[in-house]
Amino acid sequence: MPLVDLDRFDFLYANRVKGMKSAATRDLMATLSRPGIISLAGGFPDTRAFGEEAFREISRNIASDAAQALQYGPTAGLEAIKDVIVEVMGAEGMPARQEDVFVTTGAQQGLDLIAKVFLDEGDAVLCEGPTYAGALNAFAAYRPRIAHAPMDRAGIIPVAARETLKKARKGGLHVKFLYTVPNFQNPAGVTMVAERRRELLEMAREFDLVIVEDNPYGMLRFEGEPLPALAALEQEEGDVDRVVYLGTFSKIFAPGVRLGWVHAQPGILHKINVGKQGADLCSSNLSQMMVSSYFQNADWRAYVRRLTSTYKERRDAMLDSLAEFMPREVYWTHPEGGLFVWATLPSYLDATAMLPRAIARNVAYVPGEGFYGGTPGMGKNNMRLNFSFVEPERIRRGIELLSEVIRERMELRSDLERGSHRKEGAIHSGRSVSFNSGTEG
Amino acid sequence: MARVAVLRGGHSMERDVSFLTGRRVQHALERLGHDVHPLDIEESTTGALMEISPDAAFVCLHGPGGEDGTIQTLLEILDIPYTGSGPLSSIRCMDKDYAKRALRAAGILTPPFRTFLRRAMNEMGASAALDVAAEELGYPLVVKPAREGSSFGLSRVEGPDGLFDAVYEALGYDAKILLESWVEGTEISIPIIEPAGEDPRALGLVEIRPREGAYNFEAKYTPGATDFAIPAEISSEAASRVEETALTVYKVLGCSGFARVDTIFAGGTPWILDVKTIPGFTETSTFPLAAEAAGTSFDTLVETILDAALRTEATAKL
Repeated sequence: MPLVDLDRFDFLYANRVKGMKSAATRDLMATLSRPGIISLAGGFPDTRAFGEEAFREISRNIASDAAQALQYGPTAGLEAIKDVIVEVMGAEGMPARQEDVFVTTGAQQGLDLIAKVFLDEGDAVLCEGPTYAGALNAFAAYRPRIAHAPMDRAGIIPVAARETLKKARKGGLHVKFLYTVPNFQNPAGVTMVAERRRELLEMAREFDLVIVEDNPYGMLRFEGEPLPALAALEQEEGDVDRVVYLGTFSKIFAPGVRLGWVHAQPGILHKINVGKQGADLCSSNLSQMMVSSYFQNADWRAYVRRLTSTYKERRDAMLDSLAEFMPREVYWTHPEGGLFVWATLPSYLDATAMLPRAIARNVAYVPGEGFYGGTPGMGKNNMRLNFSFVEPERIRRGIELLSEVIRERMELRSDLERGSHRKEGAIHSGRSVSFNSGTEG
Repeated sequence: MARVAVLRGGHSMERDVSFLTGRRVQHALERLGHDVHPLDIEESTTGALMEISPDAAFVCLHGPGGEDGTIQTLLEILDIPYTGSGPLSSIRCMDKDYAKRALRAAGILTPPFRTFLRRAMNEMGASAALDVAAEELGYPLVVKPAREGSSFGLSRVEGPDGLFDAVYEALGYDAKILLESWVEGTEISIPIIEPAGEDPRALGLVEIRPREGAYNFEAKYTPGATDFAIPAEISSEAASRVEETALTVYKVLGCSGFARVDTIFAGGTPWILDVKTIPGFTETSTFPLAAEAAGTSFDTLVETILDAALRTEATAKL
């Protein structure tokens, strides 16, 4: 058989990766090396703000402990950084004990370990709809079913979440945990209101499941009052129990150190410890020592304030230019912090199919589809726009370009409809996603 | 040893593929001992070409801008010999509407088609004629942008219900689109090489067997997503008929240096779908795979193509 087999190990791959494909649009995005492209696609904090001198200072400080920095460390993390984590959590209004803290290689590893610890194939996870795509990726290796409960401008809708849980239970599905990003959610940019946090906690007790609270952006608040974390609410009424809290240094320090943490009760942490030993033994000592040196010796709160004010300026630039350039039919969220705005296009527009056109015009975004793990077609007419990494002037230009692409697609639609015998509205799209957290255009 | 500018990147949808092709060609040229200068397409490209003043440009660009005569006309102005086809042949092959008309006039089989322009939609209400065109062609049919490679914006339409969305999708990629009859058969690609001073010849027949569904962008560039049979599993008489047709296509469209002719083999006859004047040279591309199967190493292939470009005494490209 003269077949040329291009991937000769195909027959050896595990089933869980066989079905994993990288979408054409993802591949396009993978190299945003195109000269002049304005990328509103990433989720990058602006590490340029940190500065060379501060970096040197840290390196000098830890040089005297070079031997330890270059050595393996304890699986759960060094004592010093756990102290820092307790301090950071305190600054966010969360009581935390050092022994409940477990250091991970980015919060992303926390997601993987939690999935590893809780999920058997076929178990279910309840997520916000849309939800963080990286969490879906981390969960995917354990082959769970993903259920989404929709959000509005006040966060996940508890009634819908309850319905989904009931339905799952009826259908014999074992929902193991509920995954939420309560503050300035990725990708939607919305924040869950306090009452809903309490309701969710109540619901978790009722259905006896764990809540995974992922809070990477909490400290990046531009306006409004901070809200209590679900983990904090739980502790108001007793001990750390069913809330597994994930924190990260990626947004308040830098993602390059790959450091995050899990805060949970000892039983869960024990399992996570076992999982982490198999994954990477321990997180980098070097990173942990850099971070703890900085947080102990420098004014980290001032640095977070500086980041926050930079991002606020950029968010304002994005919201202003959206209002200025976008067609009336487009609407978007108004984040009070974080890194992202979630835009909703007319239901017949397919943001995934539109991406190559946008890239050809030198602007990129992330299409909404990837933020849904369950039903195909969800999020088709949505896009996530990042404002943290691009300067205000370029954000403005990017949004202007993007508006042109959208407008062209809308005009083409109306030209086609005008000529064809079909009447407006007669074109079925079935792609509409209700998401009512928009600000008017 | 020659000084060679390798042009790769560009602004088309196939930018990333172009980088893969370019890198591979660059390494081959370096192994062959040439002085290689890789260049992306940006505002400074012309200046850089003037400064380097290469003996030849190896064009590894795919899609609009690189495969449609744009870079070729510029290289002619700069008096830099280049690999592959000339401007007219390039635009003829890039634009499936032009290519199919030229082939039809030369009596070569190509699936029946209708062409729609964005402008006619806008100014003349041309979408009113979509259903007429589709009914004449019959379902299933294919809707595709006229000037886009790698299957972007291409859809197969089973009936009137899907037509509107497919047209809308294709017009997102190009202001000119084709509705083309679906021909059911075996997909066969014929890589053609034209060494300096020789007649063009086929490097063999490649049969494309996507593992699931259509041979789309993803299947084209994901190892393992597609199987190729080299040579294609058809009778030797059929094979020589296909080769002969492909060589006629190459000549009718005025190609130079090398090209890949894509066909559907149905009812004992090849139907011409498309001609790529700068086919991909990635690890998973059919052209270099076929060359290797025919005993021509990648380095030899690259050297042969470069050599044809360097022979400036050859007749002018179309």
